[in-house]
This record gives sequence, structure tokens and C-alpha cells, in this order.
Amino acid sequence: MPSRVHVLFVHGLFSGPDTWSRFLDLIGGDPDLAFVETHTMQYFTPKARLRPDRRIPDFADLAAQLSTRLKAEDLREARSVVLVAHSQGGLVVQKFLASATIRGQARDLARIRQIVLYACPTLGSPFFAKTRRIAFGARHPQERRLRLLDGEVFEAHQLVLRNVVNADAITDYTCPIPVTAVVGGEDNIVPRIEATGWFPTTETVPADHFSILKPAGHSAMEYQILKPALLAAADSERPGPAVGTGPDAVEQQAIQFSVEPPAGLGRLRGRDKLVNALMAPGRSRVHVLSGMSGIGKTHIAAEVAARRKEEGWNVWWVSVPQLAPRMREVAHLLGLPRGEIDEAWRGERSQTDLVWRGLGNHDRPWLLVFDGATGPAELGGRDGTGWVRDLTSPLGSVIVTARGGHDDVWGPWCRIHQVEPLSEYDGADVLLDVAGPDCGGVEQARQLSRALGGLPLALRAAASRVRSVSTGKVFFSEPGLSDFAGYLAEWRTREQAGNGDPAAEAGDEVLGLSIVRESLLLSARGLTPAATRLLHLFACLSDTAVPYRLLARPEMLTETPLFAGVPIEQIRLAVGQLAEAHLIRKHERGADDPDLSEVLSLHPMVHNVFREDDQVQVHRIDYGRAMLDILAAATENRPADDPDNWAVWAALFPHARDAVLATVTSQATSCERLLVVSALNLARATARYLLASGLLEPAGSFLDALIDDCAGFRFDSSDTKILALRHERARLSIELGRYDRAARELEEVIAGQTLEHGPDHANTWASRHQLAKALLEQQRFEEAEAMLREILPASRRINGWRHRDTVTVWHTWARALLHVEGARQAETMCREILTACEQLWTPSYPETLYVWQTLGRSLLYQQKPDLAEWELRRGLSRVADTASPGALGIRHFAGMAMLQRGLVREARDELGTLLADEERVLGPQHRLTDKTRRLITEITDRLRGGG
Amino acid sequence: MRWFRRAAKMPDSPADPGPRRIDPEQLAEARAIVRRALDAESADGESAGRDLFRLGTA
Repeated sequence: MPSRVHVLFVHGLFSGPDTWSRFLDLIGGDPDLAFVETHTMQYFTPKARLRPDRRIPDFADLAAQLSTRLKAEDLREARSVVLVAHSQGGLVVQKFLASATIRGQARDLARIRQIVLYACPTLGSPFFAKTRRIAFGARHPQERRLRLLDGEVFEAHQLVLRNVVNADAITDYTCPIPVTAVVGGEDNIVPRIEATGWFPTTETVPADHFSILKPAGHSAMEYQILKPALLAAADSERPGPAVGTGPDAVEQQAIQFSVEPPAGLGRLRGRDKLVNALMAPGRSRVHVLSGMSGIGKTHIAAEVAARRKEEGWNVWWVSVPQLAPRMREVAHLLGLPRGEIDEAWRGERSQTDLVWRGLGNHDRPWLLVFDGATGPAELGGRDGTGWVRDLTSPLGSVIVTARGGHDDVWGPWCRIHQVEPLSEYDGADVLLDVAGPDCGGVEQARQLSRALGGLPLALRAAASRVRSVSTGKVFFSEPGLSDFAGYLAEWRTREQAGNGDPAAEAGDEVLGLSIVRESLLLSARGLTPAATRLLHLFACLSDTAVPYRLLARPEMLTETPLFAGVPIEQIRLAVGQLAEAHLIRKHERGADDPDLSEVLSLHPMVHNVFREDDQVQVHRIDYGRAMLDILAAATENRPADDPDNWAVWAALFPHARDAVLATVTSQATSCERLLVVSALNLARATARYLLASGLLEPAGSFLDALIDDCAGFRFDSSDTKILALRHERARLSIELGRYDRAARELEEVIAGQTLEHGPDHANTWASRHQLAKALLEQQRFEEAEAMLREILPASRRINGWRHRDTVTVWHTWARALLHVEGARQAETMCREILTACEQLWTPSYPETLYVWQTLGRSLLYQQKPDLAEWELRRGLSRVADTASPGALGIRHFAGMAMLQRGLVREARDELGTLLADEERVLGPQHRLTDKTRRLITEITDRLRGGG
Repeated sequence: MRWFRRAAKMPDSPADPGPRRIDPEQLAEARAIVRRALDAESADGESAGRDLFRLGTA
């Protein structure tokens, strides 16, 4: 007579107990299973949270609910239980099992005789990953766990494999239970590869994700798989698992912790030098491999371990997260007396001294690897009494893989090896090794390797995804991922989407990079709040070098809401902490300005992972505010028009541009008017830098994006902030020779400004000045001159006589006068302007040089070549670099002055030298270069070369 | 830097007649070349200067 068996059914995501009705009916009607009593578990799994007072439980909550459910009246006394789960329910079961084993409560699992998981996404579900997240929100706690290779799920699966599926005996930490994973052969939601995980027992049935729960009858395969499991659970003759007791149990438990090095990690690429250094004979035999998460430290250590094993060494591999039980295993393998081991692990003597005594006396060559440390503290410190010590035995060698560390942190006897990203070509080899040769050529692989920053973990994950898609093992709505080029295109799309686009967030799943994200997020655990926030803030900036002394000033940061309540001392230490954890990298840059002499960079994967992290998504307004604040502070008192500030602007403008665009395009921030106003102020200064330094194309696309899409962030094209940007766009049009377009835009801007501020406002006059310049370019000299005659007194009245804008307007008027028979008046004016320039700017300032040129021109118009040459040379003598663009302009007219004096040969020589400089500095096709060239040709042709 | 050295040797005043006598015919032709260049400059508007001195008021 079979004993009574209780079956507990656990449903999946967005489902309920009703989903099991077919199975319940079949069991109820099966005479062979009369001993079976069925139960269901119900839990809260809504598509969205409708009541603010009720949260959606996460997997840890659901695992706890399952534990409680098993203690309910109907199951409390059950001696034989079978767990049957569908889809997400299987993850709940695995989380429950994992939790019990790591808490030392594995004995409580002994009454669970069988587990059957139907279509359980053990490795996550790729199905409609994007759509699902957009539909249910990025922060649905149950949906999150369904992402491919979610860290928590993966960890639970590994624990279940080790402590349940592959366990030999019941101890506090292990309990062997057979698990059967059932796969739907037509299931596109949880395909085979995700559903089988690493379970050794799997069955496949002809069903999809939902029909798998609707067996047609008692003969249907879905049912035929469950039935024997229930019969086996009821078999009273079947011996249960051996229950460990006393010292045997402890020993049994220790054996569960293997110290064998990992195998099957694939071919190691690009690390020959490092492997040779680790195997070289010599004094330094304690090596620390230090580098960011995913850089391949473990792979390198595993390679050395494998080679040493081949040479006959004893190799012990100790995973640091389970340091104590694994070192106990090492103690056993070293043959240390069992009594002493027990004493040490009961805390009655030093474990480290005991093991090191054993290592010191070991008579064969040995290698001890500590894998996965964060720093020396975890291994007992650096004072020589911890797990890592200076070696006394000539036969031994130690390798530590660590995310953090440099010479000062580890003991002086340790040799630190910084593990760098792979070169593009080595990275390409990794891609080709994993994906196979049919997924793209070397060049495609090289480009992808470069995009992924040569991070081996990312390369392997990407190559696995490409291979899975290309071989049809994984269903995907993105067939383009079947080769490296398609993958790279998807990666770039996602990168460009960036900053808050839900589709971008889902990209990791589509691209198979979840494991990289989880690994990097894990490596940021344990950082101080200041370091964590700063890392996220850096990730929100552009992916170019960050001049952190300028942008991350602790005094500035502490005033932003993002760092509210964070002690300033913590902020001061944050950059150092991030560098030590290999999450950022500091570089020296040969800049005079101390603010620019050191920059930091983020690995592309770090940049992507942390900018899309929930921390940023949840606090998007705070991060947006902080970005704009630090950029505004860094550019305060550094007008973009002044070349002295261009070095700073050159370093900042990519960050400023990205911060502005992110603010106005992100849904979370684009409706925050104050934030958008700050962004538009920064946008204008940035556009001015781009214009002043001649970066016309980026200036154009930047301004167009803001002006043309201003309705998207609720600004009208006649709003003053947008008018200011349109004013800059008109300046750009003048630069590009599109004078009609400039004039049209300026007329609209002037009309808008007149409405907003009135006709007698600095901004209105400034736009009128630009309009006069556009007219000047269109050779409408009289109109322009008349306008400028009106603008100058207004500017003097509003801005003052010695204001930079007034002086510039004055000079524009002087230039206009040259064209309306006013050369003499222009000459006088230029002399006055130069006096003003001396008070405002340095002698090399471009506008000052321009005035010298206009003065020379005015004298040439008046046929005063001697004076013209003398004045032009006077201007030139104040310039530090006579090959600077401004100086070239003056030299051109000085050459003409010599010619007007009749010094033909000298003029030709001077212009020849000038031409060489212009070809070098301005380029051979530049307008001025061409003018100089034509002048020389004319001299040669008409004046017999001046000879 | 050649220009800079030349600048150091420039005449002390604008009245300095220069190093040698000039052929009047050649002088007239040279001045005609300059005149044409200035006219061309005028026809170009302010373009050449703008490239070299890329600044302006707000």
C-alpha cells in the first residue's frame, strides 16, 4: 500500500491556481493515484500595481510564501511531498530550495520527494523581452527575474544543482531531491536552452508554453511524466537519501565544497605574457591578478592551474565567497590531522596557521588559487597572519584574483598584475572561438570586439548569443543577431537610445549581456553611497574622458540633491575608491591646466550598465539636475567665446551636449521646466563654443535637434530660450554662407524678442547686429551700415562703451564703412577700437587681430601702403604665433601692402612663405590660401615674378 | 617664425622709403593688382575674415 503523497502545484507569472485544473481533474480520475492529495499555492502576481498600499512581492517573498505554504494545516504533517511548478513558479521553487540550503535548513526539505518543473525559465525568458518590460514596467519585481540570465535566478539555480540535484546526503546544507525539467518542444516563450538549464533530467513534450498544462488525457506525455514521479514519491520501499549525522555529516558537507579548478572555460586568448609571468620561476610567487569584473582574471588563473596540474603539481582552487569550508577541504587534502582541523574550524585554534603549516611541510609542488576576492581584508589582511602570506616553501605558489587592489593594499611580497581589456584582434579571436566561423569575418569580429571594449565576459556572452540565434537554438524577434555585424548594429542602436529609453534597458537581454550587467553591478556592491552615486553620475555623462577635477568637485557635488546627506569626506574619497574597484580608470593628460591634467574613463560596458541601472532610472531627475549643475559650475566664468577657455570647453562639450539632449528627450526630465531651462542655458553656451571653435557641423545638428523638436519638451519656437538658440543657428548660417536663411531666421528672432522684451533690449539689438552682418555678407552695404549706425549707440547705452559686445558692433560698423567710401572714417574708428580692445582682451585675441587687419585694409583703400604695412606689422609683432589663423589674415594684407609699395620681389617672397603656412594651417583648398595663391600667380604673370 | 624675425627688422617708421628704387610702370601694375584684390575682397563680403576671426557678439 503506497503511502499518501501530497502534490503542491505552483502557478506562473500573471496566472493563478486555476491554471492547474486539467492536471487536478486527471489525477482525481486516475485510479492508480488514489493515494495522491492535491494542493495549490496562490500568490499575488498582477501585471501592474494598482493599489499604492500594496507592493508586488519579489522572488524572495514568494520563496518565503512557499515555505509557509508547506507549513499550512493541509501540508504540515505530510511525510511525502511533490512540488510541481509551471513557468515562473519553477523559479520560486528553486529560490525556496536555494534559500533553505544556504540557511542550513536543508533537512527540512527531506520530505520533498520529487520536483517537476514545466517550462520553467531557469535561464530567463527571451520572449518579447522588450515588449514585456515596456508593458509591465522596468521595475516589476517578478518580471525582472525573467530576464535572461538574471543574477539572482542563476545563483539560485547553481545552488539547487550543487546542494539538491547533485547532493549525496542530507545535511544541514544539502538534500538530494530528483528534479525533472519538462520542456515544451513548441514553446517559444521558454525555449529548450532556457528551460533545461543545467538539470540532468529533462523531458520534452509536444506542447507550447500554455498547452503544456492541458494534457489531453491520461495518455498525454505531459501527464505521463508527472505520474511516475508521484508513484516514486509514494514508494515506501524506495530508500530515502542517506541522512548524515554527527562528524560524518560535517565531513559530508565539506566534501560538497570542491577545490578542483574550473575546466572548460574555452581557449584563453591574448594573455600569453601574463600566463608566462605567473609561471616564471623567481622570488615573487604570490601573484595578485587585479582588474575589473569580467576582465578574465579567473580564466587566466584557471589556465595556469591547468598547466600546473599537467606538470604534476597539486592545485587547490578556493572560491573566496565560500572560503572557510573550502579551506577546510584544502586542510583535509594536505593530510592535516582531523582532530586539529575540527579544533580550528570550531574556533579553538587558528585555521590559517594550521593550513600554512601544512603548506609549508607539503613535499610536492603546489599552487593555491584564491578566486574572486574583493580585497585583502577578505583573506585575513596583509599582516602575514591571514590566508595570503609570503611563501617560505620553495615548492609553493599562490594566485589571487581580485577586483580591487594595488601595491599599497596587498602585502609587499605580492606581485600585482593589472589585467587589461583584450586588444581588438584578441577580442575578435574570442568571438570567433565561441561563435564559430559562420557568424562573420575577422573584420566584423574586430569591430564588435572594439565596441564591447575587449571585455572577455561581454565577448563570450555576445558570441554565445550570436551562435544561439544563428543555429536557431533560441527564438528571437531580432533575426539580425545571427552575425557579428547584426549584433553590432543592435548594440549601437541600443547605445544611441541610451539614457532612459525602456527599449535600451531591455537591450542587455536581447544581446545576451545580462550576465555582464549582473557581474558589474555585483562588483559595485560595497561601495560607499558617495562612490555609488558618483559612478552612476559618471555613467550618465558622455562616454569620453571625464575631467573629474573640474566636474566632480566635492564642494560642488555636496550642494546637489543627489548627494544630499552624503558626508563631503566620503565624496572626496569616492574617485579613489572607484579606481581601486576598477570601475573607473584614471589617466594623466599632458595639460597645463591642473583641472584638465587628470581625466577618468569608464569601460564601455561599465558606462552602459550603470547609466541604465535602476538607481538612475528611479532618480532620473536628481541625476539630470546633478549633471547640469556640475557642468554649469565648471563652465561658470569661462565664456565659450574666449579662446583661453577653449581647452576646458573642448574637454566638456561632449558631456554638455549629451546632458542637454538627455534632459530634453528623457520622459522623466523633459517635463521638469526648471531642469529644461538649465539645459537650454547650457545648450546655448555649448553652441557658442562649437561655433567659435569652428565645429560647425556638430553645432548645426545640436541646434537643429533642440529647436526643431522643442515642442517635445513643451517649449514654443517663440519662447525666449528657443529664440536664443535660433539666434545662434542664424550665426551658424552666416558661417556656412547661407545668408538668406540667416536673415530670415534673424528677422523672426528679432520679431519674437521685440514682443517678449521690447525693441530696446540687449538681446534684440544683438540679433539686429547679426542681421547687419548677414546683410554685409550679401553686399547690402548701405543697409548694413545704416543699421550699424543705429545699433552702436544702443549697445553703448545698454552694455556700456567698453563692453565686448559694443566693441564688436563698433568693429562691424568700421568694416561696413570700408565698402561705402568711408575708409578714412574706418581708419580712425579702428584706432579707437584697438584702444578699447587693449583694455578688454589679450593682443592675440581673435577680435583684436581682426581689427588690426581692418585697420590695414582701410589704409590700403586709402593708398597708404607704407603706413598699412607698418600698422599690420605692429599688430603682428604682438602675436605669439605668427602661423595662427588670425595672424595669417594679417600677413595676407601685409603682403598686399608691400605690393602696393612696389616691393614686388619682397611681396612675392613674403606671400610664398605665407602660402606654405596657409596650406599647412588652413589647408590647400581654403579660401584664403587660394587668394594668396592667385595673388602670387598674378605677380608672377604680370610682373615677371618681380624679377 | 620667419615672419616674426622679419617683423623685428621692420622700418622704424612708416616714412622709411625702403631698400631700393622702384620702376614706376611696375609700381602702377602692382597697385592695380592690389586694387583688384581689394575689390574682390569687397565682392566676397566679409567671408575670408570670418573664417579667421570666428567671433561675434551675443
